[in-house]
Amino acid sequence: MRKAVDRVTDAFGIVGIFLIIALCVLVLLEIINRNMIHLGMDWTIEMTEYMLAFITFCGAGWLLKADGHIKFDMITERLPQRYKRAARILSSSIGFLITSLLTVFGFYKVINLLARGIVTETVLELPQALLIAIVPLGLLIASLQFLFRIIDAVNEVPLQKEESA
Amino acid sequence: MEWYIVLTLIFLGLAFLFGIGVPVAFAFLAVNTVAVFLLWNGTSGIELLTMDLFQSVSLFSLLPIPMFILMGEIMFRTGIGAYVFEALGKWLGALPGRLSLLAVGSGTLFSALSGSSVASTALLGSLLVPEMEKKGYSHNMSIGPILGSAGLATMIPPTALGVILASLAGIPVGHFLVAIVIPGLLLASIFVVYVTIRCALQPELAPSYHVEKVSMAERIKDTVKYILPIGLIVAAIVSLIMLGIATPTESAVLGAVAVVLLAAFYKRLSYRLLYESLQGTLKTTAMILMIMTGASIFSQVLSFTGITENLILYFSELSIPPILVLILLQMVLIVLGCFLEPVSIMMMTLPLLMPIIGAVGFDKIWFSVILLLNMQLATITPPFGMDLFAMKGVLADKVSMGQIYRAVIPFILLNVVCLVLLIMFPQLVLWLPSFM
Amino acid sequence: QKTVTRASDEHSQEPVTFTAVSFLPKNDPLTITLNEWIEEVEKVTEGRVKIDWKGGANIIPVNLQFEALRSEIVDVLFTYTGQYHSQAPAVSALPLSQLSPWEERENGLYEEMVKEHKSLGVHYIGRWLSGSPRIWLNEPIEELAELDGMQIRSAPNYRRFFNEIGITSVMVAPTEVYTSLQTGVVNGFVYGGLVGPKRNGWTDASKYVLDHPFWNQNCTILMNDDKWNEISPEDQESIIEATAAYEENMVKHYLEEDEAEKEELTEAGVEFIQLSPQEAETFIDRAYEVEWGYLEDQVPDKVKRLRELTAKNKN
Ligand code: NA
Ligand code: NA
Repeated sequence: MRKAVDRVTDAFGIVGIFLIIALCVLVLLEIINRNMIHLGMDWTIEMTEYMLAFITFCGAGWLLKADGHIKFDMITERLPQRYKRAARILSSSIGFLITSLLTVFGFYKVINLLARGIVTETVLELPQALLIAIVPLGLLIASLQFLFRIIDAVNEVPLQKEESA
Repeated sequence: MEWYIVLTLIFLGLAFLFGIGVPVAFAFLAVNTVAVFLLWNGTSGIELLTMDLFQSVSLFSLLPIPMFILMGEIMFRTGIGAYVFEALGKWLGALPGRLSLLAVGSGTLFSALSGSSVASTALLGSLLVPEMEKKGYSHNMSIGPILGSAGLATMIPPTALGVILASLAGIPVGHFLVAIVIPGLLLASIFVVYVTIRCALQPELAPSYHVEKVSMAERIKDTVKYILPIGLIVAAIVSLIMLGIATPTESAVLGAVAVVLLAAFYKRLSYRLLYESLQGTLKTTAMILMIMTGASIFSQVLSFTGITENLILYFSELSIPPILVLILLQMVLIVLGCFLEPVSIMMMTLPLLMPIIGAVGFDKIWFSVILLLNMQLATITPPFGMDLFAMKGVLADKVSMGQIYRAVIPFILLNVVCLVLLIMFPQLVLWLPSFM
Repeated sequence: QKTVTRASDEHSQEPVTFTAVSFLPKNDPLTITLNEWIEEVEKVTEGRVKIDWKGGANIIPVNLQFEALRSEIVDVLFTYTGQYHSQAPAVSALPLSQLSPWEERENGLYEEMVKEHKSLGVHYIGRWLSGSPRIWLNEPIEELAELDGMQIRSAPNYRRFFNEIGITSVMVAPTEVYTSLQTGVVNGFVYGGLVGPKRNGWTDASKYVLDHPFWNQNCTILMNDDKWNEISPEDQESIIEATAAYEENMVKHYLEEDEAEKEELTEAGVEFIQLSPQEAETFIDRAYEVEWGYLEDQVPDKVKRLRELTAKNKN
């Protein structure tokens, strides 16, 4: 189970990397087009903006797996072992709670937008649901990674025994 | 619920979440979720929040962030950055704190290319700090000067933040962009003076390492080989902007692609290095932009409560001399800047500030330049500052947040010194635009 | 008269305060008349309906504002049809109207628009802002053909028309418009109304205004439908009356502003250029026809009526 999730998480990372390359290509094409070919690619700015958001949310969960998000360690670093572990469990639980809550409401919104057929009021008129979906998807990955962190923190067997003894 | 209760809950909540080690981005997310539930019609608010998360990072003006990070990653991983550094070092000789001066110089140079101090921080941080630490520089003389001079991206055109400020304040953009040049260069000079004096007094902060005597021929050879190509890239990009072929934001992509090509040209680029650089780029980008989603929605929530407006109105209505009002307002803005992002602060306060400034009879361009410097300060004042987060992002476990805070404090004070100079001598701002 | 007021007081609702947001910042000179509307609403309902205008994009990002109105996150919205026209294409008839707001209220266009907005769960209260779009250029032109192939900073709602006359629409982020005009990435821009470009510094580069304004303003005052229904019928009626009166003052105000701005622009060296009468007619005709053609595709059964309701009375 965990392996499968980790593999999906890595897949998100690869999509994110692919999007960074695509971003470069798209902007280069736009510059070339505007100055030489004149195809009227007036949707590139918009596309660039969507890609930036996709990069962010593809990376969000993937980054959590690598423990790459910034946190303030000034207080927790000074705590004794057992409190440190408690803080880890608590912080990961809060992370899990929030990300899973937003995943649920996010998907709910996506279904709602899909049902109403809402599109962006822009050049591309893309279905909003298609775009917004990356938010709950990215947060779903994040919530699963938070869950693994809770399990890891709870299962630190030697620590637990020493402390309860 | 009353706004001050909401506000207290918000700040206590954030402090608690940061304290127990919830990642910054997710702490913001948690607080925002609760706040929109209370303020934005319950669960519909949470639903809209998910759209808002997407919205807050799908902004074209953020494009330079991943591109500059990619540039830094490639230059760092392929070693090109180190070559350039060595070659420059051979010219600098035995100046005290030479690498720090180099950092200030690079910051000033890149500021002419970049409109985003976050992007500059990420680039210079990943490129210079490891090299400086290797030579035994203290954080005060590596992280500090970089955070200080990355801010010049805002104070020297092109500047995204400056354009936003000018248009929100309703002042002519052209005059404004000319007006910030002298203050920007003044700030850079203040940094240079500070670094030189501090390193002369405390050599241990920036140990002078032994540099082999190099012949003029070798210096020139290295310059042609390593500095010239980078210089040509910079010149080419500036020309493309001036000729109207690319916009400043687009040019960040040109820069990143050019550096990739340069690395390939030096035969330093492998597929593995490229992949690792992209992976590093994704990591730092996602980390910075995730915090940005949190910070921008956080300020929407604060705006909704009306606290900022109340604060500004309170101070501006005190019956004291105008200059004191001005100074008090700057202090309030500095405090706001500790917790909020510049764009949000400007959107909240400018609608109130500009009429007040007009009524008091201050020059609007002068005031706006002072304000821009103050807003740049917000990106480096603890506890929340995007440049600080960007620095932590590219250095990861090599430094703690606390070390970054300590390193940046002198440069915050230098910014304030510059702010005071601008208030005392309005000509510093108004002289150049007077020719237009 | 007085007894009626008192009687309605007795069984009218509790005083309510509705939150509002706008797509422009609260201090923008263009939004100034909205304060009058808010005051009028409070006055005519004797304080039973208050509007708390929180601000603009600093409260909710512009392209989420309509969704926020539908979800009752905000109750009143000062927006423009471009923010929701894909959900009810017939609202795009508003910018194609050749009538004044008061004529629209008389001939039934207003009612038609209320109906269209109702289908989206919002109540159309009235218009705000006046002034038509014009094209601003870096170099003067003498004939229409010179626009062919020109790159102009555009927005989604201008694309069809620009395509039609050969202009290449270029989307430029707001923070980059100034530099893009200066360096020639684009050769001009399109802007609704005269007030704004000078303040943004865009006239530093673009000093020629193609003085053939096309279309009408598309800014609307909307209220969430459920919130609208919380208001007693008497108060609803007074709000609508007050809005009609506001619209007259508002149009007058912006016309005066436009006049003053035109003078300032001329002083600043901005030139207003004209095409030949024939070409001007072609230009304006195509501006309208291309949009009606689009609506023909989108809402074929409504186009005939909408065209009648928006056309100027030819007598
Ligand atoms: Na800059
Ligand atoms: Na700060």
